[in-house]
Amino acid sequence: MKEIWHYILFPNHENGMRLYKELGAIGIKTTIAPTPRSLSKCCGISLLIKKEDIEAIQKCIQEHSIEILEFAEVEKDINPNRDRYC
Amino acid sequence: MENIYFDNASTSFPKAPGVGEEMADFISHRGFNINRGNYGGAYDVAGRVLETREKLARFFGCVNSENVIFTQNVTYALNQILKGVLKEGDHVITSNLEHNAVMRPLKQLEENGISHTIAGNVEELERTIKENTRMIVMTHASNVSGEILPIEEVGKICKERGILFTVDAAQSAGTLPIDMQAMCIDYLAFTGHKGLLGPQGIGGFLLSEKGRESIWPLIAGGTGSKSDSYAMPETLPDGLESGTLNLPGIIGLSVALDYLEKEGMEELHRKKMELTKYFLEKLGEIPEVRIIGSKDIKKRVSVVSVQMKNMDEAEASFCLETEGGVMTRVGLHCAPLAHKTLDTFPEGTIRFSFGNFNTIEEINRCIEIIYNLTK
Repeated sequence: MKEIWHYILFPNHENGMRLYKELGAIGIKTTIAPTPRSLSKCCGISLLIKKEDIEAIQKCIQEHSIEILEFAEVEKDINPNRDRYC
Repeated sequence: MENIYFDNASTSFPKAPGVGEEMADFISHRGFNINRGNYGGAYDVAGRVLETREKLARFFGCVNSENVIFTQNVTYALNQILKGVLKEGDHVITSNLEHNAVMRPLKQLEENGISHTIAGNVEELERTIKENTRMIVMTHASNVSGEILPIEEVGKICKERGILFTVDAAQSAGTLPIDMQAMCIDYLAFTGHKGLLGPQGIGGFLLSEKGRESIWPLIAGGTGSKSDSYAMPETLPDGLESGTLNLPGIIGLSVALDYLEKEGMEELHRKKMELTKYFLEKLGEIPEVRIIGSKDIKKRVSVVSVQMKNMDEAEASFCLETEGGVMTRVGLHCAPLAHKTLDTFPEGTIRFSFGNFNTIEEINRCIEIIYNLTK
């Protein structure tokens, strides 16, 4: 079975860093990571999160008026046909 | 003989304790780039930058940290605001104590069909408002006379009349309390290296939500966001911050803001004003010296301009340094309009500007030299 990684994508770094900080303050551990190229052509950051934290994260996003693009997931495998040159 | 630094209106010196050390440590050990590098060290720096924006937003009563934009100085910030907001046919009102950081962009904008009027007081300013008045831009405190302008009162007028309000806080940020929301300020331009006690090369501006809707980025380029598009992102702060930021400057400013919070801005200001009051009293005892502007300590910041009745100001400034190591600024202070208003144009003044690291002993030494120069 392929592993699914869960991400939050942002319009800019500012919003990503703000959410990372606010989640840290309430004890939800996330990891800042480069946005997977298959998810966005934006070269910004995303947050790698745990699936079980999604509900609490959504609440935090609303409470702090943080702008996100979307929650997204990626199957962790190597795709030779990925959009590698964008 | 130790030098005496009385040119804090040009740039504060020394800086807040720890500013230089933190900047040096950043450059030597962790000077990574943010919004570009994809590794932990860069994210740590991004966190420090976010913290600095949050501190500035709290410090100036701004709605949120996204609306804090970094530039290299207040002049750049004012140019971005004036040239990024005003359009052909717009009318602007300004005070009669403005610095060239406001007057020169306004002069340039005349060529784009943007007119301006100079008002000498609030009543005149209200009478000058026209149907096409889009913005009022004014300094919070004069860099020549130290006079404090009534920005709270003007802010209310702007709100009532639907006019954008821009404040040049070059001489007041870190000195006088500023609350953008309470004072109805749409654009607050600041520099980090004066009253905020940070390093040179870092400044910026903060926007209200209304101000945010009206501004167009003067500089376009890489932001590390929406990189697949040739169009500038509409998000902030990135939409107004193309190119790599002055990260050592931001880190230094962050340390300075911590110092201001710890020591208390009001307390630091009180100390500076005590020195100013003493200086004004002592100067008042020398009839050959003309003090420019109000002697009322409540109406000014710690900037004092004087003229010598029987001596060239530049010569006096030179003697102050050569005879007593007193560092001042002489001339027009990049503010010909203010000098015309104060009737000190074109000869200018000698400007003494005090910081919270100055002492009564230094003032006494300076007064002694001034006294001897007049004899």
